[in-house]
Amino acid sequence: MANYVMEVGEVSKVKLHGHIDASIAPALMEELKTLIAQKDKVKKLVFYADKLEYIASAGIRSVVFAKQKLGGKV
Amino acid sequence: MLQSKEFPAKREILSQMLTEIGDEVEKYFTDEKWINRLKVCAEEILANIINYSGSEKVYVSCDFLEDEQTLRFEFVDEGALYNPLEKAPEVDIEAELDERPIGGLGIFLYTTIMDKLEYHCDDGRNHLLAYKKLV
Amino acid sequence: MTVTIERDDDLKIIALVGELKATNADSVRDEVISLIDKKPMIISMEKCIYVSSAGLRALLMIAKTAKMRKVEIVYAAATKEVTDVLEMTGFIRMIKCVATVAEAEKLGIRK
Repeated sequence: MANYVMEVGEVSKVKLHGHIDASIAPALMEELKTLIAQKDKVKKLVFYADKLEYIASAGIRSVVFAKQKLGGKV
Repeated sequence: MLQSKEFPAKREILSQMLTEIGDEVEKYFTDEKWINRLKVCAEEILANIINYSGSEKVYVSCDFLEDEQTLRFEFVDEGALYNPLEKAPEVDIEAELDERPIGGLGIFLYTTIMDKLEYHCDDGRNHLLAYKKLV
Repeated sequence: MTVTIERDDDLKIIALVGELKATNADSVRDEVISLIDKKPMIISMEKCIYVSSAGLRALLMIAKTAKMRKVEIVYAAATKEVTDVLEMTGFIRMIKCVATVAEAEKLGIRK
């Protein structure tokens, strides 16, 4: 199902893994958007990057987007 | 003139955005080469917003500054705050095919074509302005 | 945009017909790459009326892939506007571009 978003809850977990280049970034963005849609639930968001080999700036933008849209308290 | 015209930031709408921008450009520029160059710029800027910003909408403005004889575009989105003009990767146009990276071309193109680009962030939205003087 | 095979004997001529935009660049790229075999290739740009920066990336990827597979590739007959963008980005120096398909064919046959 979801490739990156592992858990949505008070503590939400996103696993960044593999090769996230500009062509893959939109898929990551879509998953993060579904997470953001439930932002009232989320108190903490953890990104796991130990299996991340490469991330293009487009991918980083998705991560920044999530942080910005979830708000300052997360 | 386009004044903050709202479009859904979706790939399917890109053609329509470019048609409307093209119509504006053709009011002022008659050289096919420049009309094409400006469309290529607009496409790159809009494609980046659609593909990477996360914004649901994009607002496009296009007006002509009489005193400076300059066409001014503004692209506004509500996605991740991001300044595309900051630290653009170096593009070596002299490099051999093997050494030439794929990325950075788009930004290189529009910074080369446009006379001036400005970015500012207002009320949590990205604003990118691009200017081209009449030739 | 449509990708058509105009010739496929000792040489392969592929024509790009239409616009190479942000919305179709990746699929056109993949389609042309899938047509790369061992024969020298000519990409006819005669009916390619628009190339966006995504399109440039696609053309570059095609050229890089061909080179990696040791296949000769030549771009031919790009329009004025497309050539303008190719020149501006230095593409014209990196990938072989000639003015007509006929010229490209002469290059190919000599191989």
